[in-house]
Amino acid sequence: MKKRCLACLLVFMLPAAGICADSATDAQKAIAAAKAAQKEADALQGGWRSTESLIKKAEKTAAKGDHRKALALATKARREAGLARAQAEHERQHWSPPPYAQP
Amino acid sequence: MNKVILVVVYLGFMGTFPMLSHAGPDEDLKAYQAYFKQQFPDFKDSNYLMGMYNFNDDKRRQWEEIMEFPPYEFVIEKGERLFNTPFPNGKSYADCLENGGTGIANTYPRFDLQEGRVRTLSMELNRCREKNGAKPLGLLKGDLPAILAYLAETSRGMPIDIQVADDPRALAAYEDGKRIYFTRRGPRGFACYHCHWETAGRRIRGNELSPAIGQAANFPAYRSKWGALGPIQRRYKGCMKNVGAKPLKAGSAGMNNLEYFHRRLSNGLPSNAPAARF
Repeated sequence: MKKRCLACLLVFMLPAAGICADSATDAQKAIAAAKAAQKEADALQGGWRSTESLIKKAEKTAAKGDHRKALALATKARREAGLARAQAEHERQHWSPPPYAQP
Repeated sequence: MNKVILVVVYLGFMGTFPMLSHAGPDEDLKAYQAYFKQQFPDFKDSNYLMGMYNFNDDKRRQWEEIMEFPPYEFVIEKGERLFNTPFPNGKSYADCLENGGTGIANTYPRFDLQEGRVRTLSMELNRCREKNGAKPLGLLKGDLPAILAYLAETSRGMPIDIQVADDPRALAAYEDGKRIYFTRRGPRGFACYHCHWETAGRRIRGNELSPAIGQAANFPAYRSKWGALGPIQRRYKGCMKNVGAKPLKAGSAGMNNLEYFHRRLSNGLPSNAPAARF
């Protein structure tokens, strides 16, 4: 009886553990991607402070085991870093003193 | 008919091109100072140096009270002591600096033609330390700003005189500083000029905004908010943080070029550093 119970438990628990492992990996991947995107924005002198906070929050949340939330935060950070980079690239091409400040 | 159009276009281009090619740092400065003269026709030099305190009587009174016993005086004394303390090899900062360091702060940052980059006075002091076997000091807090305060005191009243050498590298550094100054950054898309040009004299939350001209003549400055005296790059970092941007690293080429451009806006005004600010 005991053996059957153990087998049943294993059958149900193993996929759950797999899901946990997957979400942990996904969160870590998303955090790494956000960090890489942030680095790109920084290289253009265009990083945003809020992105850094989001990445830190994502890391803390992942460490606590809430991988779903960590994934969401890291995804948001990555998106934000993309916006920062786009802003910096745009500014590199189109920055200009305002008309009243031109000789 | 086509030839006529071509000639007109060519003449138009030739008419415009020389104008563009001559727009350099001197033309910029004239245009910038003319803008502020138009914005604040009654301003004298002293008004530019007073910054935000022009625009709020209460704050000006508080500031004047602070200035009765300027909080930076002890820092100047400390800076003088540090400046005159010899290195273990017997040499001193005065041996490294032009004119022994007296009356030169108003001419920094300078473009170093040998190194091909902008050098701030902080960099000169740290280079001197390294040359004499001492470790470089932190740029934003502690002993280095105190020495800067002492050196600034020796050039108080002397005109700010930041020169852009006739060298393409110096011009490139100036242009880089200008780009950084006029670049929107952070999630709110603010550039320096949004606050200190077109809204100078108005308020952002509880604070009146100072005009861009004159700001740099007051640094290094003792800020009540910091409870300490700090160099202008510390203030730049604060501004960048305020608009949500990750600040550039103090002492980086970008930050030094920004200081080169920004400090040049105050050319001709008497140096008023160190000063006190909220």
